[in-house]
Amino acid sequence: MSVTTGPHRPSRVRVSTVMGRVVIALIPAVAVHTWVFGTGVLVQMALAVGWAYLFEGVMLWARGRALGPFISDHSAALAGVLLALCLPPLAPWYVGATGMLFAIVVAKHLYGGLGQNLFNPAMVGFAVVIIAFPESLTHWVTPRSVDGAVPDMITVLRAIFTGHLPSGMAWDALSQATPLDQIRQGLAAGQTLTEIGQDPMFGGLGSAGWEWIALAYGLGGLYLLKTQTITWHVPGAVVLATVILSLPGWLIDPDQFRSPLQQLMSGALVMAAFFIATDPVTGSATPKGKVVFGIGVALITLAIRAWGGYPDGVAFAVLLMNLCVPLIDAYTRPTIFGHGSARSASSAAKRTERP
Amino acid sequence: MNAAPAPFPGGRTLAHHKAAPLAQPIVPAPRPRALNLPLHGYAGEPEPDLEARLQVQPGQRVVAGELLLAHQDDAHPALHAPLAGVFTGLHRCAAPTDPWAAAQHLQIEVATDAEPVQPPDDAPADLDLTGVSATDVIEALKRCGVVGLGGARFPTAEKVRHGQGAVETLIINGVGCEPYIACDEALMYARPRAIILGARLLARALAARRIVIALEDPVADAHGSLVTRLNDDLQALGPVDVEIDVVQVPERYPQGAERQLIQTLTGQAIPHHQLPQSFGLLVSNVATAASAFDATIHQRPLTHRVVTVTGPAMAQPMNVYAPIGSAVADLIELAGGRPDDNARWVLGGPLSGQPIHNLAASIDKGSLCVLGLPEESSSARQSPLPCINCGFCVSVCPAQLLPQQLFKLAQHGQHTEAQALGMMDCIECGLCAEVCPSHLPLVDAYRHSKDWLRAQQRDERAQQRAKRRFDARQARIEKQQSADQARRQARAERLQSQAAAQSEIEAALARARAKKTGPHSPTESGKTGKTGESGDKGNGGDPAT
Ligand code: SF4
Ligand code: SF4
Repeated sequence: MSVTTGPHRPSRVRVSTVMGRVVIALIPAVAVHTWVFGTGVLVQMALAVGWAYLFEGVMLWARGRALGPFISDHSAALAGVLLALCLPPLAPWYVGATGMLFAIVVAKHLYGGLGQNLFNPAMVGFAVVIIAFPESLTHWVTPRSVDGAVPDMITVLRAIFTGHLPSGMAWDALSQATPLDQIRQGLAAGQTLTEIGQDPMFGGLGSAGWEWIALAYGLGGLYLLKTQTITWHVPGAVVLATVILSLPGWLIDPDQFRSPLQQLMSGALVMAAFFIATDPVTGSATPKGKVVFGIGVALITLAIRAWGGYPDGVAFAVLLMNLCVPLIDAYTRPTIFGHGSARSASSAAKRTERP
Repeated sequence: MNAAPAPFPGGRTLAHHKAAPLAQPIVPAPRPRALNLPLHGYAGEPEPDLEARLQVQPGQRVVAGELLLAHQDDAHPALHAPLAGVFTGLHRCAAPTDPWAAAQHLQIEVATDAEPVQPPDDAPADLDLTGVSATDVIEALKRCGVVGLGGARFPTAEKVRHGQGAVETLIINGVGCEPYIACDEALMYARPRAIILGARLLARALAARRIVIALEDPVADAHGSLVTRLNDDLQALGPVDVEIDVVQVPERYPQGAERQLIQTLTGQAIPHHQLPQSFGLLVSNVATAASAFDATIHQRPLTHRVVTVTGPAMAQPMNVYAPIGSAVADLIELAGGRPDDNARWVLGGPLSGQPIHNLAASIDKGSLCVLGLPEESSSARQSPLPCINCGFCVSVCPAQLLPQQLFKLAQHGQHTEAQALGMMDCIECGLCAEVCPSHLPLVDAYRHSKDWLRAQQRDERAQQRAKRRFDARQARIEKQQSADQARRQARAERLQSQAAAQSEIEAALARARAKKTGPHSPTESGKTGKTGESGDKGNGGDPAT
């Protein structure tokens, strides 16, 4: 007779299920991304996931952990997918490799592995490559909706594996600055947003191509909400805070301040709202804390976009908020059942005196 | 209270798995060879004054219902022989869910001609309760060893005595919210009138003004609505002095937990360190109410209870009317299970139950359910992963705790810190462990932590008691000493004043002799002596009083 401790009916939703759901929820975004920017993202993804499993396996072995249960939890793969989605589709292979090295080896395993890391691994990886390879990160493919074409597979593979384009092609023809970068440079050059916004790269909702990807992330996010993989707290807080924080400026001076819609639809804010800031391990444990965390991510991102040295600040915003989690958790503990608004026994007794 | 019930926080709606055992009436357990009646109080501590309270000698024949262990000071209920046989003595055997604790058991070799006891019939519709006083009820509860049958085993007489006068509303808990456990529903189908009358008797003992019978009615479609049933019986029993309502609560685990039920019915959230009595409320299980009826009206001691024997490992899930002290293995066999199967045997429900370590162990008055769940093969059963802080446990926790933080603290032995974060508020409902994607044994960790904290409190209390005793002794000694001191001093003073009086007299005499004049000097000196003496007496008498 075997006697094992509880739970007697272990949940069918396992860690791998949770991670798997997040990957499934990313499918629409990956599809739109591929349509908008070409197959580069798929190659980046394959490489990043490959590195993820490699580094994960090596680190588990080095730390003397069981390979089976941990490698099959798919958390490393998820980090790979998320990083790949942040990289320019034609970034050379070593960019992703460096990112994953820092994501899995440093951010995850050196902090104790699954469940122990303080910082979001994918964002640590991304922050490292932003700093290490600023040049590679500026070459974003021009969206299909702007110039009607995306690089073919040959171009993609050559660019990623050799770092060069096939002869006869120039980066300038293939790529352009991201809308966020364009705005930053335009504003710095003294242009108004109306002038900058004339460019077709700003599409219908504020950011051609990107806006559709953002909507696809939102769609995937709804699936995560529906399956109760995440709660509304983080995405709700990020989206609402973005709108509320960017609304007054835009109402006062739309030439200097971006509209809430454009803020949301450009860059990685929606992705962060549903897929990055919702990372359970590095997020707040309490419902209220999740709201605070989401507001913080939105606030710091908008601040970096407005005044910072980088066009998008999501990665740094998430990492900064990761840093604040212990503090947030300590101040946002839920009120224990009966401890909060409970009327005291004596007043309740008085209440029952009433006929 | 009939208004739309306010939901309690957290919780989860679960499949109830109750239809199978309720498909047939309660089955009387066949005659067992022996019964081992566990001896442990409701808090799990050993029974005090065992020798003095034992009413039978080893080797003595006992009849069914005979008193084995006398009731003591309300906290330690009486225990009776469920079936006729021979009392063979005290036996130490393993407790079912705790492999390390050997508990004392009263063992009865059941007579070969002993008839299995049938589940009692329901109460007649025309029973008259007038003339039964509060004292009658409490005495009957004591005499018949009635305890809380919802699992807590708290002596009912004690509970009622504490609640007397303070309780306005008596809540009769028929909310068997945990999946698989169907003993309360079975009883409500079988004995609705006994439950209602028992509730009225308890309300009378408490001087409560209203009764709310709360239930979920999970199998209303298959077996008929319990709410209708109870309401019909309320009609049939006629008008009474207390207001009685039957309230159907939403199916949501752990709706049947005392404080969660109160929250749903009254909107009042009672913290763990306060008692419902302080809020004019008292919750009692339906089986306890029926048992109170049996005790008061039929003087029937509590010797049997309805146990649900169920789960996928049983061929025929059923509710068994089982004598207290029945072996778990016998019950499993009765329901068509095979004790040597590689199943997960659980005492209690799938969420809050505890694994059974020894199937030869026996049930007590608080055993609701014997559950056999199929054990997944070891490869399918994932070893626990680290907590990923997913927060699933936070969303379901009805006590609104942060289970993942409590778990980490408990694991690291930081029980005092865990207590500060509400460890004692955990109601051990088991929901957090059931939703945990890392399959962490959360509740096991909490049980350990709470045991540690309780032991600590006991230690502290023992220390305080020792300190109080020491201080009292010290004070007594000091008082004694100061009294002695005072007495000594008083005597010294008296001697001194006598000496002084003496010398004064002598001095006076000397003066008199010297002057040979007026005779009033001795009177003066007599006065002085007298005053001194009465002062003495006062001083001497004081410390003694
Ligand atoms: S459900 Fe399990 S893994 Fe998730 S936060 Fe709670 S303890 Fe951690
Ligand atoms: S067992 Fe305790 S911590 Fe877990 S959900 Fe229930 S009350 Fe909350």
